Amino acid sequence: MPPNESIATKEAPQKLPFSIAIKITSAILWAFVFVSFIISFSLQKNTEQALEHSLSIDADNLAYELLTWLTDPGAQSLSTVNPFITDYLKNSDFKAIKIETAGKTITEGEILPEYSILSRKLPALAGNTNTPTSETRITAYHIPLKSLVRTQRIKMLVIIGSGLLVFGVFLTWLIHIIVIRPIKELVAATREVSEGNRDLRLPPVKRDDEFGVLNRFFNQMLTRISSQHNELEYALDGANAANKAKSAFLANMSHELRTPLNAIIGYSEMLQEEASERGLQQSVPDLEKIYIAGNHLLSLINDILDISKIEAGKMNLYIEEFEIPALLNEVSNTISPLLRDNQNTLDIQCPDDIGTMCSDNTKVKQTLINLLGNACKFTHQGKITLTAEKKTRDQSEWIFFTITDTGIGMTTEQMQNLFKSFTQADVSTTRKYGGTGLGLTISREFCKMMGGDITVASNINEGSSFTVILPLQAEPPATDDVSTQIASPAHARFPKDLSRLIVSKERRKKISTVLIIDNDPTVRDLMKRVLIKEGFRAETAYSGKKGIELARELRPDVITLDVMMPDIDGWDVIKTLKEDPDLCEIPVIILTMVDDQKIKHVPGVTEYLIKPLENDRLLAIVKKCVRKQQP
Amino acid sequence: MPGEINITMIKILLVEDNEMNREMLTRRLEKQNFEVVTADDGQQAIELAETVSPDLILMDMSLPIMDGWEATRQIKANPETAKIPVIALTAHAMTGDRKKALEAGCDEYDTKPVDLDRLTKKINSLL
Repeated sequence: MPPNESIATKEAPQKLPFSIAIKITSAILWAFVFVSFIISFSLQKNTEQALEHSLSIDADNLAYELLTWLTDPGAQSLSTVNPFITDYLKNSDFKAIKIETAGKTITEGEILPEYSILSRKLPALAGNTNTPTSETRITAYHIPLKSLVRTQRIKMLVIIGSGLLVFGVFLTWLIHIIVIRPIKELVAATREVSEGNRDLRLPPVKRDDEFGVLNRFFNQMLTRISSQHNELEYALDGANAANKAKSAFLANMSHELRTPLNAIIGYSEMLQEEASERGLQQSVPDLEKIYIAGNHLLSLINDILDISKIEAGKMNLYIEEFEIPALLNEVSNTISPLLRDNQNTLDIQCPDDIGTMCSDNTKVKQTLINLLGNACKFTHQGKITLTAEKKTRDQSEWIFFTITDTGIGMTTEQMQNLFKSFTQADVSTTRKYGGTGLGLTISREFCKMMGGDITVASNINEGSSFTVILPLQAEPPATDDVSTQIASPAHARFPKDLSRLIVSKERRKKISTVLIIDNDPTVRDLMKRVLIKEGFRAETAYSGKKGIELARELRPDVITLDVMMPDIDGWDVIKTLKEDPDLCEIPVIILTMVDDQKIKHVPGVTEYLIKPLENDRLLAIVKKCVRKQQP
Repeated sequence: MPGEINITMIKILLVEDNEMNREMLTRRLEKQNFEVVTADDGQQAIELAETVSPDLILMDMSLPIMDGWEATRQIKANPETAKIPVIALTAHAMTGDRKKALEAGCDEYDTKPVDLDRLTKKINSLL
């Protein structure tokens, strides 16, 4: 990322250095304001006294001057005193003066009620015609001392304040140069480094103070970080390359190993048949040993491949709907040779109406076969039970498969190591019973991928019980299946697969989707097969409720709907579909046992088909509906 | 069981690139009274499907020149060969191939190494 751009786009953190400057400046200013207030208050008392004193002297002077003026031989009469007083007022702090003598009053200046007063008396002077014969009283008016002091103080504050302001600005500037600027530079540099610019270095400063040291060590730290980062990148590249090589190697090896194994297993099986046909009975057990060992080797290779795919996160889920009894039947068929080996019996307990589940068929099967295989391995002449039951927990439906044996059991310590890769109950188990120790790890990982888990309970010498808990409806994997398949080691060998897979996905997008809602599995399978063969994408739902869910998810081009279903019947499904603005346009083909033309006139029904289905008719109707949908 | 059905000599096209496996499977199928025609790659398989018109095709999926997925798609796209049932044979490693095989147009699916009993059952169910 270009550093300038990144700084410009991030406004918020830039306030930080300014806020420090503002904090320091305002702290200084507040300190100055506080100091100037203290100074002005301490001066107030003195100022008041000084003013009082000076006014009193002024009043004395006035009286004296007036007396001098009146006693002057060439002086004018009292009646002409006004200009003198006017003159005097101009140069004094007094605002007005009043002279009272022999019942006569002379006032100069305006007298306001709030004015303070200073009075002086002149004695009666005899012998001068101009002079008043009676006592003369002089009253001088001035602004009250408090107001005078206040004005004075404001003046003082303004002078001190502006002086301090200038000083404060200067001080702030100084702080900015010495402290704030280096901090801002450091912040900007740190941010750039944190955003990934590892080549950045601060310009060296010629300062011996803390900032000089900080600058030096900061640069040292950056050099250190970038060299460590380079080492890490180098190591990571190496690790990635090694991991890729491992995946490619495993994929190649599994393919390469499988091909000769195919021949070993196939030929040994064929030779067994031929040997017994030709009466070479003593060779048969030996050939059987080759055959068994070949199969064992194959299962080991498969386990190692599975675990490495799981570890690389390249194991994909393929969720489909399947019948649980059919699954158990298949599992029991696969396991029957192993049962015979140790003379064990298998008891399967499964309710007939257990129905279907949506999960990865192959992985559920593999998990059950693995657990049953273990049970067979560790039990002699005993009984193995496989139960399947539906349970509701936390408002969702789960399937519990429990495999119980009457075998050797395990101690608590052995159980703790059970699900770790390459670890069996203990080392002696491997020697005695064989196996990679991967089976349980793989099974548990599979169950976790499908949203479930495996739990175990066991008592030494009494037997073990493993429970596979799986959601009835597994969530489809979040990843895009095409991209994950391209990344998988199995395809890494064929680069041409990549373009083909992408093309096939694009092609699939244009393929029309048909949603089959039917509770009869044979009908579902049959219709699916017929439609897929004809180039449709066919998805199935085993109930009305599930069908509506799938319709919302898939937005199919056509829906086929069985009328008779246990949970919600077909008519209710149609009603729900037609009420949904997203789904109401999808044509619905009704499947019914009764041939009744009236069905076609039920609102929401586009077409109808009569069971048992004829494939040609099904295809014709579906195609007609698709054409209507996409003119 | 196979004897009854195979009186008319059912013709199987076996597509497999590994010589040893091809020979082995051919011999084993022939022992079950099937007539076996072999192809080494996908391209050959398409040509043979048209010229010899087999009753069924056993298709290995990882093939040189043209792989089994593409070959199946082309066979199913050709109206002359579309009706021939195809059984996909894949390695265990590719879990989910069953779904992929059915989507490519295959009628059945089996994993290698082949379990002949299981495979024969599947072949007979499709004929």
